[in-house]
Amino acid sequence: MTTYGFLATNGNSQVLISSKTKNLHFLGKAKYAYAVQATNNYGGIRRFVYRINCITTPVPFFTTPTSESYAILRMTLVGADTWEIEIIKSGYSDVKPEVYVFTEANGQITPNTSYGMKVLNETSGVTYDSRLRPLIVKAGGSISQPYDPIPGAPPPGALDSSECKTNASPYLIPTATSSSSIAGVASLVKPIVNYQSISQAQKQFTVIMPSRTGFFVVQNYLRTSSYWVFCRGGVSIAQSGSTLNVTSGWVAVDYSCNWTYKKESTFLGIGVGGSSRTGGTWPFENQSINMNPVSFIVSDGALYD
Amino acid sequence: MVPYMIKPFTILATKDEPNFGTLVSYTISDRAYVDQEDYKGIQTSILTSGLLIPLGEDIDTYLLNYLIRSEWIKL
Repeated sequence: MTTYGFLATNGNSQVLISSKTKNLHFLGKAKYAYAVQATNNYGGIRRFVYRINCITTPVPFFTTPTSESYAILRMTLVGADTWEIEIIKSGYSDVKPEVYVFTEANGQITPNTSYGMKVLNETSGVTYDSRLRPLIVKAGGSISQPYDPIPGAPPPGALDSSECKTNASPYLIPTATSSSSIAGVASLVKPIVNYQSISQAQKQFTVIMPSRTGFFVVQNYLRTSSYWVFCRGGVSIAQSGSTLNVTSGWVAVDYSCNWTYKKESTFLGIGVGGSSRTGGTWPFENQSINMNPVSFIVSDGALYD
Repeated sequence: MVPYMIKPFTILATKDEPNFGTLVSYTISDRAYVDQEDYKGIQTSILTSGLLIPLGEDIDTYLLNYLIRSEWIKL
């Protein structure tokens, strides 16, 4: 039985500070580095990459400056202690979210005062240091994306079946959203959220056009094009009074089309040969995966500005 | 539901998606007169895709209304 250590709980017996767990502390804001993708097709796609130096795994939080969907797509160690954090965003706005990074103290964050409270574990590692601006969780929960990212289908004639000739962007915009709210949240000056993109969806529309020419020599044509978009889950948060509104949606991250062309000939009903061509990439079809609710944590960025 | 003697679409496959509903793969065709440089006459277009039918919804009714809204079925 442990006879030493520190444990602080709230009125619901939830752990606030413990010598047994490592608390997250504010490391700094990640700097915007470059955009992987920026297009207004497919409802708008923005993939922003940020960088920060961190000797342990960073835990990023981001602002959602517009009502569009945002998520952390990846965190990659690209140098000795340099991490890249990729944030995806739907919509047409180029406003970049601010990215706040938290991590365990581990000596990499320097306090600017010698007064405060520091909690050590049994190996003298720092689990909490009040001088290092520990993460203050304001709200949390979990939310799922709506299963089907695109609520409608393109009308007849909208998509060309011949060799993927149509720009399918207007018909493959992931507009479906679902919402939830958390009541009793103290006022947040600048809400920031940690949300990883887990859910994935693929939606496609395959259009086929059979046709025939000739009389004695009949030629049958079959043209097929499969237009598809691949989406990842994202969220947006906004506060109204003491209610925090969380909206989950989809962000298109990839798109393409696959087409095939077949031609067969007959003479007086007897086959005399045919040919076929194909091109493009194979999609997988109309499914959403990893659809369990994804956790999110909300804090206030103004505490760390 | 709009009374149809024969379903104007074909359900190719269904798959249960727990907590969400039934994923339906469907196909539907449309015939229209076209007057193009290389072809003039009746042209058939076929659409194949998937749709999630929410829990508690009748598959045929939901899909029919979806295809009416999408103009593949004309009233």
